[in-house]
Amino acid sequence: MTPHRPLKRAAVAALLLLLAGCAPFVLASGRQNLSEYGFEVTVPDGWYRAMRGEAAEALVVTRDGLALQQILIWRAPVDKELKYTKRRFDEKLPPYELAEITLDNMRSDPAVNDFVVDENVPVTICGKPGYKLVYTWALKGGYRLKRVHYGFLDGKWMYQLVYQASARYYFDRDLATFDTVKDSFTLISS
Amino acid sequence: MSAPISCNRPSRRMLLAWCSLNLVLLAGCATPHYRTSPQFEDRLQAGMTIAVMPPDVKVYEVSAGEVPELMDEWSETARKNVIEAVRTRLPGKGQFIIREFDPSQSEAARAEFEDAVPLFRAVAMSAAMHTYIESGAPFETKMKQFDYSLGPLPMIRQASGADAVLFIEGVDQISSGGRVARNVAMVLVAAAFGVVVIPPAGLTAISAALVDPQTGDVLWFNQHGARGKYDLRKPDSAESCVADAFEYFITTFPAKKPGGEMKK
Amino acid sequence: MTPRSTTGWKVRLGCALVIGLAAAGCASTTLPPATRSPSGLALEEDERRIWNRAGEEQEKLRRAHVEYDDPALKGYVNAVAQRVAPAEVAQAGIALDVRVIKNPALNAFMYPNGTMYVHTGILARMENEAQLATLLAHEMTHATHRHAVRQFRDMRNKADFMAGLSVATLPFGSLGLLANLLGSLGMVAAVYGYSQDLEREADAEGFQLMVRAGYDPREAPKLFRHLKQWVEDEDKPEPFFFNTHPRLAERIASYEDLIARNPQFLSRPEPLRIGEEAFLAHTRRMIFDDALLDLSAGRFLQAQKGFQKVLGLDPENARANFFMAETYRSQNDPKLFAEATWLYQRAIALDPTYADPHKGLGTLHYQARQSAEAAAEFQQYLQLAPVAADRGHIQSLIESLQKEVQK
Repeated sequence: MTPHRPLKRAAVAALLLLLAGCAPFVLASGRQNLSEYGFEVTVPDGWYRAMRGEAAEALVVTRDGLALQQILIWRAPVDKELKYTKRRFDEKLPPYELAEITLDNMRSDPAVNDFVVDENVPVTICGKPGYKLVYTWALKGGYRLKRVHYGFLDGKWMYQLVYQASARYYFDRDLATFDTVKDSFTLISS
Repeated sequence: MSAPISCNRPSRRMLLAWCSLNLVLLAGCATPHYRTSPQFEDRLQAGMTIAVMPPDVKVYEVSAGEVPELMDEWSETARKNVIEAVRTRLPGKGQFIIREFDPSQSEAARAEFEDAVPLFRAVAMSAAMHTYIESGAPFETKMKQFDYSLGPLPMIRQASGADAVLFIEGVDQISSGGRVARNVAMVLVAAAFGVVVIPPAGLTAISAALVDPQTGDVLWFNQHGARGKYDLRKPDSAESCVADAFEYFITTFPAKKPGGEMKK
Repeated sequence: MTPRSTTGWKVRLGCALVIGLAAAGCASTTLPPATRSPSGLALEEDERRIWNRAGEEQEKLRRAHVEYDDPALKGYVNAVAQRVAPAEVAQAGIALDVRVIKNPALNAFMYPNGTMYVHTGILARMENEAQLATLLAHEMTHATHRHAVRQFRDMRNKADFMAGLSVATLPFGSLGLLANLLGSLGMVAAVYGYSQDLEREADAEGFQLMVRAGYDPREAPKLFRHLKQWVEDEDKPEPFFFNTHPRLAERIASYEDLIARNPQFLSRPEPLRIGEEAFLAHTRRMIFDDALLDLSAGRFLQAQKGFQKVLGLDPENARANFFMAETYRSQNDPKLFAEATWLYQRAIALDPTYADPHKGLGTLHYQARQSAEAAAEFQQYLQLAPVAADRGHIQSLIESLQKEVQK
């Protein structure tokens, strides 16, 4: 998942889907059972799910538009290559190291400027030890984005729950909504 | 080693792409093209002061090979024409007082303006994508309730003393002589073989948002443009484009002679 | 009228239109160098617009805080640039200003108004001041010889010509499509990086500048050997923005040819300047910081080369030993853990108050499921760094490890 460039991703994905005749977004309120990704979560009223492209590998929802705010939840095999760093997650690594690799992946993205980490703490999600990160960065052109980023290992899967929004106004406005989504997250045992 | 200069900014291209698509799809559509927030009618008062933020208008010359080049002098001329057109036509029926606002008069206002502009672009793109059926990605909830925001703008509000703030962004594409000649040649050669070809004309697009500086709410939003109809370098053409974009303000409120008071 | 003569006049019409379009409005790509304007460079109209774009790009870079913060290094690099630059550069109104960007990619780029950006990645791979002078001289030639506007015009001319060609070939099906395809690809190759001809001009002119400034010309091809080695190390095709360059091996051969054809530069009475000591003194901290960027990006071999360079200058550097250990541990390969362990212990021996190596050792024990040993190292880490930013993480780890031990 590389949602770091929301403006371009939002515009390109929707435009291509429009031309292909597919609905790029569907209203996704309520409990979502995503057994193909191993989790269930409750999406708030009035949020739409992006259906194609990279969003097809995950749950990606937005209320006002992906460029303004989005909640992304996905899982990937723990040894899957990351996009911007050659460092890899490993099931034997402690949460602080998983957090550091997550940050390295962001730092190594050439589109990320002025990267600042505000918070990096241990958390427990679904009974698993994980991490919580809060960081901001700027795109070329000055658009600042902010993220809350949770991650944890479950067996051979790396789960990540991310809330990303414009640092100006939208992040604070919808943070509480993201917290309720995160708290509703449960794993589906295989 | 690599040449670093890029002639185009990605966000402007994306906005242009969306406007272009929407304009094609909306051709001949009779429903209003602007969008308003639920608070619009309460907040928009006759006689209110509207501060116009420096419009960002870029004019490109497009060559026969479809290579766009940003033209600085044309852009500055177009920017001045747009401001003048807004000053002249926007007061309209609402007797609005139009002020051209320079954020650099206050360091705090300047910083706030620079922070808000990228969000304005993101909001404009999102509104273009999700509040028009023709875009193909409409959000019914957003179409029923248009609620976007740039966040409170206290510094701009304080420095301008305005009741509302207007953000404008525009793009104009002018075909070079070579491109025009190529299009003529294309039409002629194709016609000689019995084929009808309609070459693309340059696009002019304006995106505008009227914002309540106290809350940051986008009270009114519109994107307007056309292919081959306007040339923002020319005052009357720019005025025609602005009049079409702000038709609501001009025609809905009680009629008033043009030339609202201009304060700096 | 027979069908053949009908087609004939149409083809003649198409050809006439193509010739007319190709000839009309074709901008000249030949411009005298800026240094041949004794009374100052008079910018052409499109050139002025390119300078304006350059100014906007520089402002974006400034706001993105990409510059590496080291005033002494910046001063040094600019002093070398001034030594290499001909006096006419300033007279022409090109204000040379070299800025270092914290980025591990091997790249440097020049704006036509005299501002140059050099990545820490390429600086970190140089060995001495003569190699730096080679790079600076090459880049400043792009500005003095007005490559930006020449390339833009060339690109625009090619695109316009191909558009004209596509008009004439419009009715001819696949040929028309091929012309369009070639036109598009040609445009991309021309836009992304300077063309091969312009890069060769920068090589040749830049070479003259650096040798006139007294630098050893034999260091010039070494710069491109480092680039070639990086490409081979990273096991990927030449980076895209070098696509329009002559192949790196050909560049090396080209510089060697320049040296061979100018033996007079090797037989000057005054000693040829290499400047290894001054270069390394000014770049040592940057080499270390660039190696950290390589470590973040998972380019472990490059990171190791960087830390090794620092250790070559300062073998007792505890931090360099620690991060060298990190390059081994971070590969998640148990076969490398012994090397990592040795280096962590060396860092501790060099500086017993240094906390981070204990965290590294703790992580190795953690990965090996050695809970007691891991807890002990993490506790030592927190004792030495009680206000560490990741205290919460490590404390939480210690608690869970102690529970494991008690089971």
